[in-house]
Amino acid sequence: MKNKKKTIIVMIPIILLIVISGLLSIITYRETKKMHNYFEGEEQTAIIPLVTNQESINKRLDAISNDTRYTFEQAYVELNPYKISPLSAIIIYSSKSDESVEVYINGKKVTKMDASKKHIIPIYGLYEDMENKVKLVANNKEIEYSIRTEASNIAYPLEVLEKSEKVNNEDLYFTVASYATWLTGWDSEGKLRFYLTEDMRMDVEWLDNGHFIIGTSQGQFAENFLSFVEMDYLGKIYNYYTMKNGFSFESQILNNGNIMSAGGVTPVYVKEQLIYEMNPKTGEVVSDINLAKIFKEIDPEFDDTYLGQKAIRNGFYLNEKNNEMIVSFRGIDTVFCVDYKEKKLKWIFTNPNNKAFKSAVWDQYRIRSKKDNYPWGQHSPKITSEGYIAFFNNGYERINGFEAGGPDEVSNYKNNYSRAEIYEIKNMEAKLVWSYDADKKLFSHQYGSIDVYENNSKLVNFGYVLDDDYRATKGATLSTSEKNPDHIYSLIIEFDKNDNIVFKAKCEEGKYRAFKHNLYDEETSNMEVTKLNIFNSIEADNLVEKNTKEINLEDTVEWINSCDFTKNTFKTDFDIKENDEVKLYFVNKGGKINILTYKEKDNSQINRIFNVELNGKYALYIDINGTIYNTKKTIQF
Amino acid sequence: MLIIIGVNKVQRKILIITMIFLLIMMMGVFAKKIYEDKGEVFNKELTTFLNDFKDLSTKVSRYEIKKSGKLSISANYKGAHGENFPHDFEFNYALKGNKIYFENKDGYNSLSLNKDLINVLKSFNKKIEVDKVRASNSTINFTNATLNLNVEYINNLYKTSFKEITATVYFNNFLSKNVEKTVIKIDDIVITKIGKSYIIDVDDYNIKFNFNKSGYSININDDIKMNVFNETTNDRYTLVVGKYVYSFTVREDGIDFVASTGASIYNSFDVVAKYDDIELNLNKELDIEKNPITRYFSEVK
Repeated sequence: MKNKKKTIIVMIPIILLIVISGLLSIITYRETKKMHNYFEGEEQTAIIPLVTNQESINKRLDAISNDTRYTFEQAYVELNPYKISPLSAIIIYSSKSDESVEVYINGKKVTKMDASKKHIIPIYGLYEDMENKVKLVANNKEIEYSIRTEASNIAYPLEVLEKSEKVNNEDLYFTVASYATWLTGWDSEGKLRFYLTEDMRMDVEWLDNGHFIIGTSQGQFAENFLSFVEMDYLGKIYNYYTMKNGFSFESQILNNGNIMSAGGVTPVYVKEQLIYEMNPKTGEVVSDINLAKIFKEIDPEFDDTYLGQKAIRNGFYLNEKNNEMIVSFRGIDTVFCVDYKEKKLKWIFTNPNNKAFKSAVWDQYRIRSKKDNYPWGQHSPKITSEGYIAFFNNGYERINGFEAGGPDEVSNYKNNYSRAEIYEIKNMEAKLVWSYDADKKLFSHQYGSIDVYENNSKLVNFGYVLDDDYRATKGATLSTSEKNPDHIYSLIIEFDKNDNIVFKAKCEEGKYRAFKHNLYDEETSNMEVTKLNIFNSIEADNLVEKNTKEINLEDTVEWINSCDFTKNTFKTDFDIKENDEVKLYFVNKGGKINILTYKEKDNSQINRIFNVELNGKYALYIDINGTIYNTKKTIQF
Repeated sequence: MLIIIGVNKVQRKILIITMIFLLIMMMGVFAKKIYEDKGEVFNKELTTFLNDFKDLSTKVSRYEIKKSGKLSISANYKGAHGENFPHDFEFNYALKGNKIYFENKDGYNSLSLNKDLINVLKSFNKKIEVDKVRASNSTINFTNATLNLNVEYINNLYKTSFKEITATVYFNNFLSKNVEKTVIKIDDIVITKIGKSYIIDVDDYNIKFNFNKSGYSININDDIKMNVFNETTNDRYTLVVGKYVYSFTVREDGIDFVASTGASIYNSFDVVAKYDDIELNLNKELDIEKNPITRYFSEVK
């Protein structure tokens, strides 16, 4: 009996423990299952895949570069290793001692690689739909590798109309097109030698190391972007910059290595135009100039809308010798000059009847010119080595154009023509010192560019020329011509230093800008495959913390609209109204909810850029006026 | 056990029989309770379903769409870099049959509307009386409860010709009075209610309704989705049809409509309609391109 009692006394707590454990397990299981349900659906990264996808590629190529099984004779060869540049490849191998390698592509020597034991050789400029031959020569040995490329099926090829023997055949003609082909590179025969399969635009600026900077398109609104990258022709990204002032249309590489870019006081949804200088080693803005402020100081009544997005500030150029910066505000047909250091306006070059400058306060700044030699919807301002002002003059009065309710039918523009111009500005007078107007036959109401090189050679791009047939068609409109490239073409013309045309090419697609640049330098460094720096100068937003016990996520509604999210951008086709309050909820597996107020109630600013700094995986919910929607997206921060 | 140990054999037998009898009695009472509870739940569930439908009809027909009025249109022309250039237009409009007509000083043109959609929308204007929907015969058992609904009343109200309408409530299990689902069958149409969600299966269509605290949502075959917010002074609709997105705000005095999907030269399209008694002249039919609405819909394929 006594033993029985003892057994019962021992068994009861054990049974109780088992029961309590069981209950706790059930509760934990239920909670875990509940949380798990929040994480159903599509997974994505908080930073754009274009950048995050590169991390694993870098790792893989780095491992290969450390694998000594790959030798000169049996190198690792991969076409398009970064998946976005189909006419590029990489060759990797190791050698026992430092050696430099000469690289020949399809019979032509393109570069000499720096001496090294680890050889990571970028191969650029392959021909499409071809068995390309790449020969490596090192230490009196040579080996040839075959790299087969696919046809690009590029929608709009380049047709070479004229080519002189004086043309430098080593350089490519790069073009940026918003419609279909984005960034492409063509040789002087009109053959495609480079293209990206990602939408990256608008300006391209080359760095001393052979890389270039170009914008990425996430979060884009109109022509305003948020970020740009430093990239090589393989499509490998070295630096990814997300800028607190955004980025649009134009950058310039300064002598000190810093990057000057154009954006706004607020990024993307620009209310005040701003140009800034950025240190590319840190991603930090080191100086800036608020153009809107300068205008308002002179004329407090100046129309604010022309100082924000409507300015269409499509270009600038800083003369580093004297800190004079010229800026193009296409939206108001004006090129103006400011002193970047003093933050003062020096002059405005615009037609005397421009309604934006009707106040007499502007008189002291006006540049006088003859006839219609004024900027009209212009593009790509430059300061030449002689200190002259160059720009592509569209010949289209943008401030009164069809976009602003002006005439749309092309018959209203039968006498308009576009031209490339260079002016000398002296004593407040503009003197036309050079122009090319194609006999006044070409009218390109949008796009266009001019580059003037050190030796006075020039590259001109008539970016959106209306077909003669279309110009003669009754009822044809400019707005319809912007639907698609059916009625337009672009014309790229290169002049030598004596103004002889040495190259002319046509494309059925509108080209925003054209550039000329080489693929290789005489000597090239081996690639640093592991390098990928991510810079973000946007201040982190405050997030309010709650949890799933405070906020019920059980009865959420399906989000049926689009939801493009990155840690800085949110785009949707849901019609957000001024009186809506919009919040984004980030829910982690522990049940914590981090809340970002994307838009406050009754705030007329519908969209904005933000910066969510979180770590880990979060389910994304959207709260509109208290109704919570499940986007079925999980974001990996 | 102790009680049984202290008595003799006969007394033990009597006790056991009495206990068994009491047990049977208790089970009987328990079963009756369950049965009655299920009956109650069944009635409640049915009433909820009918009230939900009535509620939905009320919500949909909250604002009457008037047949004529004035339209202010803002067509957001697409710029070279995706910017918006709003151009404004004014039209008078009128609904006639399956068409909507637009007219300004230059002339008129029209768009055809989906006939089935119009009929469905019209049907929501009819007010259903919940009590008249019930019929007299119902069957309740431990796993489900079934009722025939008044098909004549439904046919008279909606001008339909259904043969039979039944409502069945399924319980979670034999003992439980919790409802697993409610199924309404209207001939071949099956409506399943689970919690606050309704799923309607008819022909090739699978239609899901969900009620939420601010309104409701509809999903048809995952191709057409709509969320509706019933706000104090208006109803907001977001409609996604494949890749096309439309927003409506319906008010007492008119409708705002936004087409968010870009067409060839439009980023988006805003229309504000204000009701008014207007007669259109319909003298001169215009080219489709003269009207930004018809141009938008012809380009947004």
